[in-house]
Amino acid sequence: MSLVKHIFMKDLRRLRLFLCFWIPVVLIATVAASIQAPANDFALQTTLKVTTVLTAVLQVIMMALIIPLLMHSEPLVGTTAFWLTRPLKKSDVMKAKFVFAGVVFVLIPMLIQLIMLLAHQVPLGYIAPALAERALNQASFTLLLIGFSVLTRNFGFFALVAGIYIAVGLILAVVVQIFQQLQAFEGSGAGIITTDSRMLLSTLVGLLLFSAMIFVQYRYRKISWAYSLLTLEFLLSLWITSFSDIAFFPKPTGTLAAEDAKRIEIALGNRNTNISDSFSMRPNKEKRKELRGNFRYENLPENGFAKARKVHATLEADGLEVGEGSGDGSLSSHFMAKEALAETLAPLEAVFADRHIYHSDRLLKMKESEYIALKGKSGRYSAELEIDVFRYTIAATLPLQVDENFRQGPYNASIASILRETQGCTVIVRERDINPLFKRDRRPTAGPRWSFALANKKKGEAYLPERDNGQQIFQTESSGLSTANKLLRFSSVDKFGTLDGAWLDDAELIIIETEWLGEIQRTYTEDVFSIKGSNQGGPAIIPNTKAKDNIEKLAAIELPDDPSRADVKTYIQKIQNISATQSSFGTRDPQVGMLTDIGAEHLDLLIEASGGRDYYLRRAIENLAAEEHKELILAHLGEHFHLAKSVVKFGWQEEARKTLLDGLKYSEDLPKSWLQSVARFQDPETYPLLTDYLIRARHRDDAYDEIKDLPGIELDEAVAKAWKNAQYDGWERLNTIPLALQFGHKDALSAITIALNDESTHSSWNNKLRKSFSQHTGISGSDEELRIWYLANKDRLRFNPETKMFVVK
Amino acid sequence: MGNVIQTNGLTKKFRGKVAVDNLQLEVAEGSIYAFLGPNGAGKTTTIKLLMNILFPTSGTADVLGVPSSKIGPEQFQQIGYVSENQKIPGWMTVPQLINYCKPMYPTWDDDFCKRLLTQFDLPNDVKLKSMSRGMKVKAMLLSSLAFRPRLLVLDEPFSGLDPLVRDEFIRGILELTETEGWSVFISSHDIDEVERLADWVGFIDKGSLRVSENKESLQERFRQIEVTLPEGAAAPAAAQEWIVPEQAGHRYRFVETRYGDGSNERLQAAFSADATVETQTLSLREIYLALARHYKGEA
Repeated sequence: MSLVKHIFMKDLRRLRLFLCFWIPVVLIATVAASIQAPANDFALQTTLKVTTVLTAVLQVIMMALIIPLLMHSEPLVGTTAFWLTRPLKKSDVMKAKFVFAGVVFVLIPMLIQLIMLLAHQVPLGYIAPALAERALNQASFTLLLIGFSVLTRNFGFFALVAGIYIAVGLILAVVVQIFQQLQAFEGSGAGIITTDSRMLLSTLVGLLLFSAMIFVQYRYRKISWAYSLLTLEFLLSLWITSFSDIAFFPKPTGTLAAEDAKRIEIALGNRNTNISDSFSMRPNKEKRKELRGNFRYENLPENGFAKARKVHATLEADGLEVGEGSGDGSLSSHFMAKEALAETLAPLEAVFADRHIYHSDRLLKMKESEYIALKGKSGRYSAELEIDVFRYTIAATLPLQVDENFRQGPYNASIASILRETQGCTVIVRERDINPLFKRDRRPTAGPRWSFALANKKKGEAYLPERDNGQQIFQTESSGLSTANKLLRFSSVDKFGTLDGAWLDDAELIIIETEWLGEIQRTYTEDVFSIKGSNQGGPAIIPNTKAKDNIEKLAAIELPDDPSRADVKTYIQKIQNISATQSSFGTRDPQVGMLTDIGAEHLDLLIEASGGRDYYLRRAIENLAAEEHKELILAHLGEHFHLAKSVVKFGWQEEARKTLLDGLKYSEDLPKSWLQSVARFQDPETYPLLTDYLIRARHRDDAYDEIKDLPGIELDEAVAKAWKNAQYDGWERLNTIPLALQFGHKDALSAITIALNDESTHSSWNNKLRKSFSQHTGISGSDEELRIWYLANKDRLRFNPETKMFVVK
Repeated sequence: MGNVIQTNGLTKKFRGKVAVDNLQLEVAEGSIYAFLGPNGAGKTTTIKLLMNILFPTSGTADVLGVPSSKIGPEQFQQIGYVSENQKIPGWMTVPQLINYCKPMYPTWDDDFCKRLLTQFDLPNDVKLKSMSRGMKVKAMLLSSLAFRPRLLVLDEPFSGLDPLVRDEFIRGILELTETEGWSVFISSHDIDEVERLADWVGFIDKGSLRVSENKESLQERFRQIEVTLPEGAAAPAAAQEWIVPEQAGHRYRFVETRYGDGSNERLQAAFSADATVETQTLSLREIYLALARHYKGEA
């Protein structure tokens, strides 16, 4: 028997008890990661998730216990070790230790990983890369612990050295992480190719230097050399993971044909009127301002959309050239290119969720000083863009039944649960994917790679999930294999249409793939470009989009002659989908007329679809509502508060009394028309409800206007309470200032001077506040002058209830 | 016969502080060399340098004809090493220790091992970490003797051994050195035991080797001299070879380090004719103490 085997067997005998724990822990971890709990069994899912996390932690702890025990039985530090004066070759001892650690801490976990991957039916082509990554990680951590062990003589010193290394490492990792997060926020973070390359290189360097350190200790037992190598490894790894620009992995190649790429044209779409702050937490860096908006792309491939990844834009004006290049960060996992998605789902009519997540491009980024110098001036705008082009493709259509399954490469999605609701359903899709380092999909992304829609071909509708793309719950990751339950909630509540049982009986789940086609470069120039708009603190990402931007699309929507109810529904939905991209609305917008054209006979459909914040539907309803709709409107009043306008218009308040008073009790954001209706009762019994509402209302000024002239109503106490309540919200405070001044609350003057001298106060407030100040004091001047006047006189100000003026006494 | 250990200017410094200073040491094959010195004199450091556990700052040491820095498994198969500070694999029992050590030594003698096992009366089912200090030393000795080493290096081996085992151990060593020609290099405070064992003695103090000599010639050379001086007579100035001189009233004594033929006459002549000079032989222990006191006084 060779001495290597002899030492190995000796260690095995010694550590057999620990191994009796280690192997079950690894097995339990594997079993927990391999079992698929039923989607509706949350208890089992929680148990499995907790078990996976606990066993992962336990594995780390056990490795940190077993490896020093293994290594310290033949320590390399100190002069009293038994083996130092025995005829043992150091190389034999080293080999025996490596074999032991390799078998127990690399080979066994890899074997178990293999079992888990096979249990999850991961394609064979992904198993080898996943195992290689696992082997690399295990070997890396094992060598790290062996490295600490060969530098120390016992567990106490081991814990000390490891503790110091980990503590310093963690502190620096946090610093690096913050730095990288800041870079990501600023749009200059490293891409996935660089990040992966850094990780691989630092792991390889760690493996190499720890191996060298261990070899040096076995060969020469020179502790100073070993510590030097440890320090070198630490610094090198830190540098590599933070600053290295190396790129091992090839850039992905797209499928976008050259002629298709050439056809794509770029134009500047909407731009934001708010100049926002560019995020930066670096104290020594001059603050940046940015102008956001949208680049628009024409002639994209079918079902395609594009996203500018990097923009280097400059503005030459007034003899200055300003602007700097930057990346624009990655898109949210909830991102949807709604137009392309609707195009993909056609001829089905896409029904999007009521809440929308906007995305905009960074058009120009400049120093604050440059912004101040060029504000309002015109010049030549030029932008160099790197643009990613994507396409949506319907990958699969599954019948809406549990266990229906879709598989593509390592990705697997199966319907785990369907929960029917009154007007919709929740579908839990179990997603499983593996993306190993050595076979990673590094194509640029725009939102999630896989999106879902619930379709009914007979009805011609496709609902998109609430909270765009749904949310993930019970996400677990074990050795690179990630599993998640995606909660897709489809609902017609507050939306046009009825997603009921009959609808669901014929429903299918559509799985849509977001495919990266390639990258193009474009230059966009505009000879007359000016930085308009007002300065606003904090980032602003919603572009100003108006109805005129959608004119062409709206023109393409036609209401058939003598339309059926289904035709009307589709017509309304199309208008809603297009209007959803807008951020401003007006009564003259074409949508009002288009919806009014539907006719009073379909008023119920308009009311049904008007649950959300749909400006145009409300205007159309106001236009169409007539005396004969009394029953319909009163039936929906409790749900659709905006119908109160019709109640006022036709004087139906007595019939609606109960609904109106209930609304006062339970809501804080009623339309003015609602309060007008109640005020018409002139009934002192309703006053307590009205004053209570004034105290807690969002729009206290509107509420006050409607009730102030009611005979015998006492408002002093209610206004005092309302003013006090309004202090906790910036918007409500500003909104309530005029009311507070009416009732002599001197601190409202103070609030004005503070708000006027605060940059974060939106400019739209300023005139209103200055007017209020002047109206109640007779003083006008610059914001700073008002502040100085107030501070000088605040103790001598007295309120005259007759004149509603503050005078200095 | 050659030397199993030979050093030449062997020096070891720890952060500038000298632990072993220019050591010139020769241990002849087949000899039992007692390496003596007070605490902190550099005995253990010297042994660790010889065993390639520590690396010398300068100088060289050859062990079994091989530079100490090159000592490897081949040499350790011929060297038995026992130190009181040695960390033993405490989780093992004695049979496990034997099984662990045996494959390392081609010359392992099972019969001899069994004999030693019986002689040391070691239990089979107790882990080493649970044994008494004496038992542990015995187990170490067992694992260092059972392969019949050519050179046995013992660093304070008698600590914790009961007198009976100690006696048996010493007799065993003597027997083996005689019959098999083993060489033994032993450092110990237990000079009485060493005296029975050693045929060569080295005395190290503050890292320097003061004496390295055959035990018999050393004992021939050292004598305790006691002089009774006549009334009113003063002691003469101490000669260079007189160490640790003391005077109490009219009695004067010292240790003569170069005693030999004609020494009595020389001594008498150094004092007045009326003085009475008495000469006594010294044990190794007394010589050790005299030297230790002498070098301490020098410091």
